[in-house]
Amino acid sequence: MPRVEKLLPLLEVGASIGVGIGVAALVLFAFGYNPGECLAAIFDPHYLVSNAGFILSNAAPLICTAIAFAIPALAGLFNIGSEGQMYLGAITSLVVSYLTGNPFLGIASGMIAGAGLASLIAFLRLWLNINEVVTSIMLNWTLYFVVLYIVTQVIPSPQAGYRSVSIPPSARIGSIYGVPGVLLIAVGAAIVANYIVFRTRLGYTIRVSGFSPKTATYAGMNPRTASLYSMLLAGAFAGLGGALIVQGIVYYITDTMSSLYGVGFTGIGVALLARNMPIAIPLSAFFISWVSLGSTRLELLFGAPSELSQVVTGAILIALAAPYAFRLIVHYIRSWRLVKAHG
Amino acid sequence: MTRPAIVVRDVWKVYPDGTVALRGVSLEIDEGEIHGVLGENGAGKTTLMRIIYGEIKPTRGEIEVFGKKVRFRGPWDAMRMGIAMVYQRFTLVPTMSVLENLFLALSSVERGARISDARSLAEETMERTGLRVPLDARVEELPVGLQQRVEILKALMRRARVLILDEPTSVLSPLEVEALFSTLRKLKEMGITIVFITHKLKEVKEVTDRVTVLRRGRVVGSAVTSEVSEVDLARMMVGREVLMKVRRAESREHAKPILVVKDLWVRDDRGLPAVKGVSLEVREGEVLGIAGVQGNGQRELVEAIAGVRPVEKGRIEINGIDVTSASTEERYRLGLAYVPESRDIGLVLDMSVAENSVLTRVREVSRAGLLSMRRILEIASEVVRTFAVVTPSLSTSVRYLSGGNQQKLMVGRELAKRPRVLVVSEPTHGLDVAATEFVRRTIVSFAEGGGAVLLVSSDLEEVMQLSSRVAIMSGGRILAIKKPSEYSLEELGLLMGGAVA
Ligand SMILES: Nc1ncnc2c1ncn2[C@@H]1O[C@H](COP(=O)(O)OP(=O)(O)OP(=O)(O)O)[C@@H](O)[C@H]1O
Ligand SMILES: [Mg+2]
Repeated sequence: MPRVEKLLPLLEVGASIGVGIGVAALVLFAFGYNPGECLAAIFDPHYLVSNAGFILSNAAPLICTAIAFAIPALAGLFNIGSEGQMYLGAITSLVVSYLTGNPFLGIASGMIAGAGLASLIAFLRLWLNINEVVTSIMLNWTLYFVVLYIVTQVIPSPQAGYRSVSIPPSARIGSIYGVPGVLLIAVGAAIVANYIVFRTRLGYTIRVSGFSPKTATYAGMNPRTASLYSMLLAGAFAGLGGALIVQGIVYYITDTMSSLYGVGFTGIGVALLARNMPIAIPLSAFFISWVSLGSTRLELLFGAPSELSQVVTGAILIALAAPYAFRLIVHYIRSWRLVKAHG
Repeated sequence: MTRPAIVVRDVWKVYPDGTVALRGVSLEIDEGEIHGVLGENGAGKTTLMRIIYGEIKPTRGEIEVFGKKVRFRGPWDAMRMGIAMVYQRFTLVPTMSVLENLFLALSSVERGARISDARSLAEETMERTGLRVPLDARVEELPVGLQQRVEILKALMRRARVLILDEPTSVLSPLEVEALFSTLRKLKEMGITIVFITHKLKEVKEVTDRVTVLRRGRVVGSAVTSEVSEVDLARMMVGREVLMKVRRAESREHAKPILVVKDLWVRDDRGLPAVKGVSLEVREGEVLGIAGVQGNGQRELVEAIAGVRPVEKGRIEINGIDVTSASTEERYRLGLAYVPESRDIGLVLDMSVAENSVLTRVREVSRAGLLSMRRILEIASEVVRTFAVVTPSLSTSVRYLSGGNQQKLMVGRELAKRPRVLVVSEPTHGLDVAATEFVRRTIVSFAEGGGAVLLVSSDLEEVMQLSSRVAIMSGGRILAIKKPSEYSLEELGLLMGGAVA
């Protein structure tokens, strides 16, 4: 019987997909493009099939950064810093796999680096009461430039000046029967994350703390450590996302950081669309990856400026995530006031 | 002469999960009367009221308000027709001040209202009704009783003509109940229609003009209150005879003290001393009841015992072990179980019945950090079975349970832990007569089986009935500890008012 009740969020998602496409159509119309043609191009199934490999590989890091947002969100924290954690994971994995040629060491070091950075943010919030949103935004930018510096000054490629050295083939993640390895790893990560959230004591504690720190305290749990662990996990997943980009998709980082930039932020949208349910994140990531690739076609086919295609993706994403994000933000502000008040 | 304020015709409600909460309810509420609605936990009372208030839509059936057929799209429509509701669960923003909450409510119906308007309107309403609240206090710092008064004030401020109160008295002290009743009578004189849900038959007899009894989503009877007895009402509600007396556990002299509190000092949320040098012993095999008007340090006392509130000075022992600086979890491991006064704290509404039934013993149901779903389901079904929690399934969100069933789950969970000492606040808050009887019996037999119980309740009758010894608490101090039979009524009144014996 409770099945219908569980279908309700699905209904909400369906409705917001409709609204999102509607908004995108309006934007296109306002800029003088034929919305029907454009949308047909974006969602063209042939295009989807012929670019399936690309769409799926690109979904992989998104899955990771979405998990990195979802787990802290369940604990009542806003991890906007997954972008920076992902940068750090990427550069660490690049350096380590360049030096060792070992794919596992590359991934592991990326995850550890991301986790370390996230726990710093959590520490500042939990023990010094510095809002994690603020520290995250600052660190995102700091890391952007740190990575840029390393790429261009420390390990520039001897062949091409605009990028870093490439990682050796031994450290690269290939495909298995045509399925990108990074995708398998990312989907595996979503399954693991789901297991952690719903089947472990830590996940249980995280969810109780996110519902109400008071209830967690009553239950004999420490909501602070729960938050700290949620951030630690988040950082590790974000770091994994960065490592997957470097070891499975591009093999180096360019001086525009184009392969990294925004993957953390888009992950927030992916997580919100999946209602922070780790198991739903892969699907949501495929969808977003598909739409963003499709939108770039507007540029090719109709000569639309590239900003417009981003606006279209953005409109769809915002409409998808808005109702849920709103609830989350209200809850977040409330609990932040609570924490502030009690010091 | 009298015309109906509200007519409900053949209303059905099927919730999205398939639960049929109402099965063809018809009901008339006359203008200017106080109409009682009675029924077991899960009978559909709250559901019916939410429909009248426009919060949810009936699956079938119709509602008439002051002779006009209505189809409310939401509570704002109902408010416009002069219907106001005070929920079983409060809808106040805990971190805001009383005034800010009132302002919030006001601005939702009156655009452009300013906070100064809210203040003057609130003061005027308080004048008119005699319902006083501190406007500048933060809501979460107020005792539950006062929070509820804010809710009522909020409804009255909007010039309601029909006031629906869902279990308004379950958290109030006898004095506060009296005050509420005189308010209700005054409101009735002013022509306001009142719908009053309660589980306490005495209150129905005392304050209502007519009463309707619901059972499993149907109306099983409607009567003029003066023409039916409490026993009739109980039989109508439950469908069987209910014994409303529970035998108490007698204290044994020289029994071993299990919970010892020595010269305890605790501060409240505002940092003011709330518990001022309390000493007490709860012995094996007894129920030590704490009586007193709410807000006299009872909450801070039990929270300190549970370890969720820091102790300023003093000592707490469980089973002879000093736990003053131990964590809550360690205390639970030493055999403490604790039922908080509020379900908002004791339950995670977004989690399932199964998950909630192990809230305070997760460590016990996990191996190497992994939850044992089998153990969780075992414990959950034991709690649900023993305490007759009505739920569609163990995986249902606790949010969808009726208030009383949430309460049964919370109390049942703690008793199912088979603790050494049970600290329990308002154990029967929101329970129907049968469930109340069952929970009281369970508490007493737990004590008789060698457990120790510290019972805090704003229901004086409950404390006197269950306790082996009764402590009177006032102004953060214990004024007297005696057997219930050793108190005279005058003495009780005086002590609860704070007079030193
Ligand atoms: N939102 C909901 N979704 C699904 N089922 C619900 C929901 N709210 C209530 N129910 C179910 O409907 C039935 C009636 O609930 P209701 O809250 O109206 O009972 P009640 O008479 O107010 O009980 P109580 O005295 O315990 O408060 C219960 O079986 C309850 O589990
Ligand atoms: Mg109810």
